[in-house]
Amino acid sequence: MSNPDLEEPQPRQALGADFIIPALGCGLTAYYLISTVDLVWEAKATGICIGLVLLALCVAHLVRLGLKIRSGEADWSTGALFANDAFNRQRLGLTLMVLVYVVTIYWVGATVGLFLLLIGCMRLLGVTRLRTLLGVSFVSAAFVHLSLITLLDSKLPRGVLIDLLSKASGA
Amino acid sequence: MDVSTAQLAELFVRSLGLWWVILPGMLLGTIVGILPGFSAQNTLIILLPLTLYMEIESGMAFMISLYCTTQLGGGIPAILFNMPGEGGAVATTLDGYPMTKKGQAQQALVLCFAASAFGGLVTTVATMAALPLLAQLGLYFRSVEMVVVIVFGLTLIAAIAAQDLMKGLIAGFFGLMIGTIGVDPVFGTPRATFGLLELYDGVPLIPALIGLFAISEAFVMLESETIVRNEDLSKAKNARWADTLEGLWLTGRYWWQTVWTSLIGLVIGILPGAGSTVAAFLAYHYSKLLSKTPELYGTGHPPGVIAPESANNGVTSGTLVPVFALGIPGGTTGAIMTIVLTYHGIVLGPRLFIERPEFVYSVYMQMLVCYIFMALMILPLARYMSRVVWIPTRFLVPLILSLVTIAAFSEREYVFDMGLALGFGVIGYIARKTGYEVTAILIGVLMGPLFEQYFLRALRVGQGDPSILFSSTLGNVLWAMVVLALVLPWLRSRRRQGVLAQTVRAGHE
Repeated sequence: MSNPDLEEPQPRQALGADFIIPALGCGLTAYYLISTVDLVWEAKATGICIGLVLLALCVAHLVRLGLKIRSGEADWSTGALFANDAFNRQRLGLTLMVLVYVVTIYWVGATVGLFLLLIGCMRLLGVTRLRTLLGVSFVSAAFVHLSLITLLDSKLPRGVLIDLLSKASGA
Repeated sequence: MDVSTAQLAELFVRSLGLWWVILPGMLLGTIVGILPGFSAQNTLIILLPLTLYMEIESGMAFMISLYCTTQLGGGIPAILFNMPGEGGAVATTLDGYPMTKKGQAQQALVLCFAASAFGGLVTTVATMAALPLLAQLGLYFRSVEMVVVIVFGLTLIAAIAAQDLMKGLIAGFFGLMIGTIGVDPVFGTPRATFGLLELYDGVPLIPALIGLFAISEAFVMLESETIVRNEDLSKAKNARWADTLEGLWLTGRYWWQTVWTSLIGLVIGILPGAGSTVAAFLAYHYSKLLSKTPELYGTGHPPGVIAPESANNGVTSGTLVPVFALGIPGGTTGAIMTIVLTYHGIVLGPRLFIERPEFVYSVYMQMLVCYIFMALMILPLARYMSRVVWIPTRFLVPLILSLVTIAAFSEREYVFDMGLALGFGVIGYIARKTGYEVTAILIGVLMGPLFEQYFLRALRVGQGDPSILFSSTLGNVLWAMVVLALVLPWLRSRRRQGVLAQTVRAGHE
């Protein structure tokens, strides 16, 4: 039989991150309730009913989490979700790159932007061979341009460079 | 409405002769289905000038083959990458992706394709056999009954949340709350739109789907070398034709499941506004509910792939029923087909069955031929397509992230939607890492607006009296089924615990 005194204490659960989704839910509900104050009852009824149930669920869940933290089973830390490790740095980098792509798409254009985005993302994830980086990015960007912009006539922003090239070629 | 067997045989041969439009339609449908953001409806609208130019028979064959294969195509990325290509394939992710992770992508794809083809065949034959009867079905489902159908779909949130009920319900209601954003369906007043015009139509489905599933999955995916677990990768790479055939054998084993879940799809397809998403979720829910092993659902259980796939293909046969019988399209696809049919001078409605019954049957025969062609391509398609998951994630993640961000643009052509998809991606990633089911969030986003629309309509009919919801016999039968769906799993688990406890006690004694 094992001696309970010699057993290692169980690590505490990191429950800080568990609050994020309920917090978002409560925030959205609060905004909904405030922004629909002046509307007629019928227009806001469904949202209010759903919101009140969501608030009740969140409160019950927060109480449950709070009790766990109070009893010492868990703590407020966010665990691996926001840890400063290689994967999280990669995720942050990827998110920022996609965000920059979306923000600059009108100027850079969907095709050129996609080419650069793919190079950046693959490089971040550890692809180092230049030929592979350029090849995969070029083929993917060309495929998107041909299928969506040329064939399906999508309204994806062309960007300054493609516009200049189109004008130069008289297209 | 009399059509002899000889006439049906002749129609079948004539439909076979339309292979030259059916095959390109199928190819295009598969591509459209695979790409999130591209729907059969949008593609049919783009191709409307072409279909209007074609002969009515070939034009319908092309549209139908494209529409039917889109449902099949949507299941491919759902199984391989946990990112449904169509709303109707969301439920397929629940068991399809776990099968891929276990190195059974081939089997899962065969299950998906075979269930789609077999389910489509069953419902096409059923529709041809009972077309006049089915045409009446839509008339019995009014806003009250639709409220109950959607409530039934929503109860799936509780079923998905079996691991942690509280978190599952929070996720589901969070999704429902997101679904209330936008103008209300009665007065058209904006609610919780953050002052953004882009949110007046509500939260668009495609960016939400792309973010919650594709982007968040890409963020999780980068933690491993490949999608398939390392220990299962060699098993996946060494898979033989026998493994591919195993998927076919599994479909045969669960043939009854395919039949009845596809019939759910057929009924839902006839109802206006419900569509393949509701059908797939309902079929999955029922399948789990009536299964002897409900605990296996969500772990890569074959019936969990069969049920939604056969249901979403069953919808395709149902969609055309109100178009032909009443001249009223139940959704966008039906509306586009109505345009083409009326352009060619086809008078839709009850008289069509008296004056040109052979035309109605020829359309369903084309659908039948499409599903037969689909059945023939099951094995090679599954075998070679499943190899995509061997690609290292250092290539897959950038490709997925960039292509799905562009796909988010496709539905409404707003750059705003690309940013919205990224936002949903971050929310989805946090939800996954903290144990909140993204599927429950998406069910809320999908069904919330539908629920509100029918609920408010029912209340208007009842002049604000909520007892209208219990005023119809059919509605009350459906309510009883909802209650049963909620109570049955609880009763079964109690019974099982009781049996287990007795066994343990007996063992002690």
